Amino acid sequence: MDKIYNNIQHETELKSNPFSVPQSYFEEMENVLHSRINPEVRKTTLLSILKPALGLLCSFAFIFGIGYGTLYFTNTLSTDSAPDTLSENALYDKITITQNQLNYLLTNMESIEASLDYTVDNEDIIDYLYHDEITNEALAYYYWE
Amino acid sequence: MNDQEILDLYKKGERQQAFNILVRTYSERMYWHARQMVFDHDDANDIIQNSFIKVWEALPNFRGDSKLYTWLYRIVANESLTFLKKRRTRSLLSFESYSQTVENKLIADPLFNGNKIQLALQKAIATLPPKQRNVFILKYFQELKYEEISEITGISVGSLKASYHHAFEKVKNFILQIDRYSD
Repeated sequence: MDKIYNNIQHETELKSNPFSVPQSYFEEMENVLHSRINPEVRKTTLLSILKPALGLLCSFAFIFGIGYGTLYFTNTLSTDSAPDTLSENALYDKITITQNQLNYLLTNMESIEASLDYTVDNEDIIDYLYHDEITNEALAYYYWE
Repeated sequence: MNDQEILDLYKKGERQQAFNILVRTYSERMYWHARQMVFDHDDANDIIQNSFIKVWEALPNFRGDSKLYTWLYRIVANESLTFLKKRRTRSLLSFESYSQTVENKLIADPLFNGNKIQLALQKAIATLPPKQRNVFILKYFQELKYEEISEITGISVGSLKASYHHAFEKVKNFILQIDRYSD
């Protein structure tokens, strides 16, 4: 016990280094650090330059493909939806109209066209209201307004 | 080449050469500090390499307010403390005490050539909290002045004296206790 205590007090044997290192460890330290600080410059090829751009392009193509495929297979993608490209027959297919309605349109085409050009004035409104049995007071009110 | 000459060389643009001289001059001293902190060669090697990488990165900002070697000690000490903090979290899951683990490792370590007394001292040092261990090693083994240790650790000289005194007493009592049981 005295030996150990004296060792601590006089700091002789205890201060000697009990550890060792692998051979040439400190000599190689400089090179090890040098290789960590300056990592080897990678060989640049055309592929290595284009690789990021190609990767990005492939990603866009993939996303576009997924989107297009989804629309295509769920039948939400329509190529004939533009109204100006519809054929006359296709337009007939799309419009549901009865034979009577069609006949009416064909026989009264002239008067329909005339009515589209017709503009409503105050006299017409008063006539309309008069025929709908509106009171004279209301008629006078509207007329003098 | 002294510290100022190394720094002048670095400022002249001979960065790699200056750094190589710095490594050659101080790597051994810094390594032994790290080794005494963590006991294992591989761990000390990791610490010292990471420390010098940080030195390389921080060297352009070194203003020379402190001595170059105290700055290096500070980096190595902080790196060692960070390592021990991580190791401590891992060892919480272990049933074995840290000092017991250290003893077992040192007995099996071919790079430890110490005798029974030196093994007892290392085991005693392993019982110290990391910051106190840092102060004990800087004073006891590296034989730095309290003022220099204060510059490295940022702790006042008075606190350092008290910390070292406590550490020394703990180590002494631990070794005496081991010795008493082994008699």
